Amino acid sequence: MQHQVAIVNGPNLNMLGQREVSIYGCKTLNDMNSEIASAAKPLGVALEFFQSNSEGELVTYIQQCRCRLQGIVLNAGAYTHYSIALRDAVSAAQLPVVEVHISNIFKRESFRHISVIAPVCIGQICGLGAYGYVLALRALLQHNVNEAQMLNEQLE
Amino acid sequence: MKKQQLLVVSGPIANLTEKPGYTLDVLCWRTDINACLQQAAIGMNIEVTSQHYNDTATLTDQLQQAGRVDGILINTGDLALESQSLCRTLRFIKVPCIEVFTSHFSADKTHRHQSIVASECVGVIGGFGNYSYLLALAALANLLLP
Repeated sequence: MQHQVAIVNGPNLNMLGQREVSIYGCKTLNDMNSEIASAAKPLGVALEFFQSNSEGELVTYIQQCRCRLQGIVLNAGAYTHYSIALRDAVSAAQLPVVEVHISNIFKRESFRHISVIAPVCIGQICGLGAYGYVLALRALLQHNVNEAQMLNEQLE
Repeated sequence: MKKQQLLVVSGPIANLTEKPGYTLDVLCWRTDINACLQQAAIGMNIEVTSQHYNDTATLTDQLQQAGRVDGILINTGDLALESQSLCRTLRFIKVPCIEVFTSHFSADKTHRHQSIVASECVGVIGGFGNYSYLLALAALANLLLP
């Protein structure tokens, strides 16, 4: 079965390439998504891209991923630091989710150091730009391989 | 073409990272992280040197001498939470550095989610077991691309 994974971006990530380029770089969201799609091809993964500035739309989309996809790569933007609704949506989705940030959040203001969604994600990658999403995708696939292997070992 | 030199530095307890019973990726399963990194680095034109120390002073000494390498992967273990001297050393040597955690440090409910070393690194990768190291190697190779 081919893996299906969602690449989900939160508020202001539609402004990439225009917004604070010294922090987020010159690539637009489309540039970044094309890069991720190219990297996903040899991995045999089908990707679904979603971006919204609305917390409610993000929650609804993540709810719809449940039982339909095999994982989510999530950059929740500023919602990372305070959205309990998003955290609950991730938790309820019962899918492996990898948290990604383009910038190194630990180099920035202290309010960005805390992620309320981290405890419901399998891991976190930050500071590595668009390549962070590609690494997150690899981490997600590896996680699923490990889970399947563990399940097989338990069944044997 | 000259090989890029990568230093992998591990702090206290970071040499004891494998969780018994937890299946890591095929390459790393019950094998040595360093051997995995060296194997993976072959196709990347990178030479990997690994060092492990349990004390801050020796770790600092080694990092001070690391100015000759092209990149650093660092898992400082518990020193990530407290060592200002490591932070200053990383700031001083100006070598691109990625902090690696095998566990998901940001999800830790205790004080452990506050790594002070992270602020001196290019980026941070955590939560993927030994596979975090392989991802960090790929990230550094990508950073060092001409």
